[in-house]
Amino acid sequence: MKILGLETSCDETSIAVIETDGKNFKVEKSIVASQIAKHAEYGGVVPEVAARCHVDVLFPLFETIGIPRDGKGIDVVAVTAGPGLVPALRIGVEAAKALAFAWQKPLVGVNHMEGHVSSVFIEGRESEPAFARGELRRGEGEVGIWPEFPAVCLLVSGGHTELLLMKNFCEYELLGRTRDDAAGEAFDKVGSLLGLQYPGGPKISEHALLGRRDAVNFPRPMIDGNHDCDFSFSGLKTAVAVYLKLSPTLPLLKGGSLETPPLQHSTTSSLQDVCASFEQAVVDVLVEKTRRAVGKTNPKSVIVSGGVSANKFLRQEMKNKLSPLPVIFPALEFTGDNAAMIAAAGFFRAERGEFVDPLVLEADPNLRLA
Amino acid sequence: MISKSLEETKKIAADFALTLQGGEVVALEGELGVGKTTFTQGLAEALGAEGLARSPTFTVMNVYPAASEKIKTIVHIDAYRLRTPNDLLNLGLDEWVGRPEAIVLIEWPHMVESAEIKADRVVKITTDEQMNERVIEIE
Repeated sequence: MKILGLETSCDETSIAVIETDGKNFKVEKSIVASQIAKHAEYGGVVPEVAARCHVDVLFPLFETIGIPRDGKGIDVVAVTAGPGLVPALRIGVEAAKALAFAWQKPLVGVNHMEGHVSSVFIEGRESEPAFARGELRRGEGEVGIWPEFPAVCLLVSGGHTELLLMKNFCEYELLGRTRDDAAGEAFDKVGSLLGLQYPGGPKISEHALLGRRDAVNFPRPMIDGNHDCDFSFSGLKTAVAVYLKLSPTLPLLKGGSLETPPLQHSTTSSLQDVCASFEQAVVDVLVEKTRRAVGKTNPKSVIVSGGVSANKFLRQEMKNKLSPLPVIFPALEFTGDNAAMIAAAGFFRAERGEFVDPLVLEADPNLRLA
Repeated sequence: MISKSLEETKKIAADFALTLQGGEVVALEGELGVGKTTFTQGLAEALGAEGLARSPTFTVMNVYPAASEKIKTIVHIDAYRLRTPNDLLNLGLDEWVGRPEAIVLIEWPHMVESAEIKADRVVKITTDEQMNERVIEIE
């Protein structure tokens, strides 16, 4: 089955075509607007992308990756119907409806979160120049690893932090979610507090490699004396803010460039120490809550996906601390928002005949998986 | 008003919620960590919102159905990641601003004036170095 996927739920505009037999998911085409600047061959064809410029960018993307104008060869159209930002979602939804209608092909409305879950089934592409060979394989180096059900899924990104029990394809139960900020948001905001350029998350991870993870004992919210699987990160963010205010040797909140921080006295934490300790705190919470979810549900595997699943330290800690349970991650290329994962999720719904009338599908900003 | 805890912030917000008539735009100002989203949680709960108000930093706009006498919808916006007034306007705000049974709450409202949206109420939250207490001023 060949599935065309469209994703416009928030910041990203993405289109992809996936070919699958249900076991192997091969990416035939995939383009993600925010990555375009990195591909010289696209330069000039697609307008310079600002976040959420879906209207300007969507059809040029179709042209750029060569989607046949008559839909030839495509079996199913899959589009993110929610959750997300309504004006953004609508661009993709209306385009998908029009295409499905004009091409007379079946249409699937996909849940963005199910897209993230499905991202682990997609094979990474060795031809992708931005990523080193070996980091592209599905299962992070473990080719052929297929999540066994039931699986505990940790979905962790800038906008979401949720734990789900996946009993089987398309069958989910909510185990816990954040009560305030998402983990990715915590990274971004602490990055901002540290004066790091957007996106702060990856920069924190880089600095963390040179810091001491036990330098500052930031709080691990909702860990002590608490048995549920919900999360909370806003207290941790505030704790970092307070720490920085009280640390005169660290650069101030609205300081200059911190790319080369000054050396600090050995008894005072450096920027790297703050990054390392903060990252340790977030990862400790994510690991511990996942462990609790595992304890409650006895799954056969764990899936960790979403933008924050690209974090190497998180990958390492998850694997080590949940061992011997297999922990499966998407190829790095598919950790962020992308249409390939939407096409993959679309397949699972298409298999079940869950199609929607193109005249009827509506964007739903609050669409829930469980 | 002084708040020394999350609960106190929510209580102040709940009291404020009861003064709303519907149709207002509320600007919510304060630096990272002062409790803008906490305030919104207290306000939303007081208005009978379904579910918890969560940070809209990445989602940009969250819409919560409410169940108070005057207010049936709370639109919770976070302009933290927005860069131009158009970013705010493109959210389809004209569907919500001024609608009698809805209120629009905007965190990081720096865009509001330049987008020519008038804030009917302004909530300013400030704090000290240690971030132990919050001072909440409401206009």
